[in-house]
Amino acid sequence: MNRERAEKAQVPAWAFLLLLFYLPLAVVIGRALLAPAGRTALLSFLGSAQFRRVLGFTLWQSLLSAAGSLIVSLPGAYILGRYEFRGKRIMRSLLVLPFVLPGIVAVLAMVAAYGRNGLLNQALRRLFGPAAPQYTGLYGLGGIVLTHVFFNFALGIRLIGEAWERLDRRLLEAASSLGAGPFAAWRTVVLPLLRPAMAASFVLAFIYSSLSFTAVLVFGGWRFQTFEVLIYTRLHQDLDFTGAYAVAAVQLALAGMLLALNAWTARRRRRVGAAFALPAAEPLPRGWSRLPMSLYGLALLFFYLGPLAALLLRAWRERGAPDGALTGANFSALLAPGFRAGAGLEFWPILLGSLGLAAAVGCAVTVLAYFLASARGEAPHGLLDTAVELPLGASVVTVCFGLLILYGFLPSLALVFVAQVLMGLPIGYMILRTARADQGPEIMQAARSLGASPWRARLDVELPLLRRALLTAFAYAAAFSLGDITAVLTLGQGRVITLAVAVYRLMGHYRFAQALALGCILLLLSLGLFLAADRLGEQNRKGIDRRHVA
Amino acid sequence: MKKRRVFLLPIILSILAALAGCGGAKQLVVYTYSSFGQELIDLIQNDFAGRHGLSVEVRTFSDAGPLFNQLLHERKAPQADVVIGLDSIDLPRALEHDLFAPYKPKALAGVDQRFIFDRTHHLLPYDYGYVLFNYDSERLADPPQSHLDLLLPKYRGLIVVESPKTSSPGRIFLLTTIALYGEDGYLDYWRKLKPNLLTVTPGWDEAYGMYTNGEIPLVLSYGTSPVYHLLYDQTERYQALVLDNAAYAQIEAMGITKGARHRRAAQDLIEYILSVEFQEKIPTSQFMYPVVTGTPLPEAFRVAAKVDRLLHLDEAEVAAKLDGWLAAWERVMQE
Repeated sequence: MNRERAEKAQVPAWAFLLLLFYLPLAVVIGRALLAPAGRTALLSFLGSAQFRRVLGFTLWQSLLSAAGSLIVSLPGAYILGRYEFRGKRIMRSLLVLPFVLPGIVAVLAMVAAYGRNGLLNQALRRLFGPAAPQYTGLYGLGGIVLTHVFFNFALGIRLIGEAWERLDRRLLEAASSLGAGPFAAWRTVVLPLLRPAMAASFVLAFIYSSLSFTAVLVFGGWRFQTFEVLIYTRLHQDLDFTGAYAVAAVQLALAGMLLALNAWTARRRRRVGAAFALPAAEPLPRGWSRLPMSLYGLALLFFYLGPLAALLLRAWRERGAPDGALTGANFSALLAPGFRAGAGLEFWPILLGSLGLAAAVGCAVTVLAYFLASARGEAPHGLLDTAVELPLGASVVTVCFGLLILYGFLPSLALVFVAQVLMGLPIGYMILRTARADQGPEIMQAARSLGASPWRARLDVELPLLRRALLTAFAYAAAFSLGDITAVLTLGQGRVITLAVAVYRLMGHYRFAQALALGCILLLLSLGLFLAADRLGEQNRKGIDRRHVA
Repeated sequence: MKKRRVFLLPIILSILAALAGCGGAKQLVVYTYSSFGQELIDLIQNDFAGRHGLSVEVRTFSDAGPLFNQLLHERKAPQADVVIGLDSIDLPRALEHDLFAPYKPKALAGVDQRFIFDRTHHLLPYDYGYVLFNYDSERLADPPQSHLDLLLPKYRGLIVVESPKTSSPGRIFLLTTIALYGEDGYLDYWRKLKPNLLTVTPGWDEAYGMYTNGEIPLVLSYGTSPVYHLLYDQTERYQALVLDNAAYAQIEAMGITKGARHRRAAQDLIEYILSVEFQEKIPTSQFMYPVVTGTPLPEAFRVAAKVDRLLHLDEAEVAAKLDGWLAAWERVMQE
């Protein structure tokens, strides 16, 4: 009965995916590849040295970036998942912020922090004088990987941390009572149970890095290319549609293979804990055992907050320059009459519009992903999962172009909304299906056997248990929407202006300092949005706990 | 069942909205790119539209490339009447795909003859600017004087340029090096320039952002960039360099689409954009030069670079060879 309902509930979600993703994509890529010229283009591309070079570089840098993100995120996930401490909520919300930054702002923030004249090198010079050692690795493979780690490790902390939180403490106690040392317990109990979340964050980091555009070009100095770069130049410079879509098809196939591989390796996934698990959270240890954690936290703070801090600091300087005098003028200029000339719209409508759009996209993704994930049930569904997650690997430019061809008659805002939901849906789905698989079906079965109607069981039992995952899905989808430039510029056609696009437009009109100020506001408001969402979730949980006690 | 109806609602609403739009006042459709200033759009939508009793819809695209894609896609049933924001280099491909209808505006008589690049009048110039290196005078004491100076070891890692494959100033700089050193010499020039480049960015924004952020003191930008800093930052610290006393001009162009639904109003708009009252708004909105001679320039333009010698390559030659030049350039960068 419950399954039937769930299966019905997933129909609109599948209709959404089929009509708004697969159909446009089929029209664009299919049409290009069905023509003989398209097949020739595809085959000659697959046989070219350029293909081998781009593939080799893409796989190599994505592997380094994903591995780097995983390594940096594991200790953080441990702390977040194992311990309860003050500031945990703000930390969880801070971890979403890199996704809010449009690519160009993130790259400029990295330059401001780790560039030749960035915060790090300035600090080194101040400490050790002019002969101080300087970090010069930003311009090269190192900088590309560093930027991708900056973007992706936070996702790992959140995903793996949440799995750790759901981990049943009794399992570890059982392991140690059976004589397992801490290392053996970790290897035989914890690691296998965290593997789904680790795999999900690794695959996400890998695919996001493989799609990178601005960072690869700015820090690679045109020595390196990804498929995304090829699609862009073929589409925009060469006007070679067939060639561009042939590359898009290759990129999509690559992402599809990775996702399918991920699904296949997860066939025999073990559950992290049952729904009746005792959460593992405990207060932070005191004394010396706290030292490694503090050191890690400090290092992470510098690495992570460096670029964000550089952005914040320069927004308060004249011209946004490191040697400019302190001023609030960049912020007050956002409300001055000249703002519209650069950004295209006044400040307040842009602000409210972006937040509204982000919240709507976040809600839509959470709802769609929830129904898709709950209809999925327990059985392994490699093909199904890959089908929902595939938009992750699709070039945004290609999807937007397909949407424009098929649905160009729809209002711009609707098209932007659809494209942003498609961007957020795979990550939302991955988060929710991992969380649901961890939780297991027993509690829902118990609720149903106690006489709860399927919707009551969902509302009172499943949703509260999934609240962290639901909030994470919401936060990431909203962050994607806030940081997106491509879909808004391609589909909004000047009628939709978000904060990120306003930042981009201000830069195009020389107003870098104002752009930095607006970037800061974008960051702070997003933080507020995620904190509010988190808080709302907490309140729900308290309500549930009280009911359970009663 | 209920869900499905909700799903259809936006589609029905939008069809109704589209139908309602057809019955309204005459609506001229303009396509442009996202850096086209809002002040100028406001002028067109309020002043121009009011005078001619019509409404103007402006659709912006992220860049000239996507704009071109849209035009190609709509070739059989063009939605746009006027396109603003192409580049003189786009002329051959615009002609090849037969996207524009010729129109010789009366106002063309007042346009500086050097910038009328299309004698068939399919595309018309509306502003221009010189693509030049800019430097931060507080961070670089001895700026280069010539393009060969840029190769000196003392500028190692101090320069950022935009890629000719993705950026229009980058493309103009590639043409500059070809105009200066010929087809045989430009690759060699780039090979020697490469060690001095901190990086090559995809667009102007990244490069100029790194420059104003103090990361590098030398950047490829425009001869009018210092005007902005004088007007809005009250500083003359940032200056443009006319290396070898010569520069290549980027000419921005507009045109009436072939099969435009409102040809008459489109012609009026072209005349309006070439009128002095519109042209004199261009300097402070686009930081480019108006093409109509005698248009008054704001006082701040005194800090814009003065160029004596215009570099130029024949548009037809550029069109025929550009792809090959770009591919060769890319090979050098990846060596």
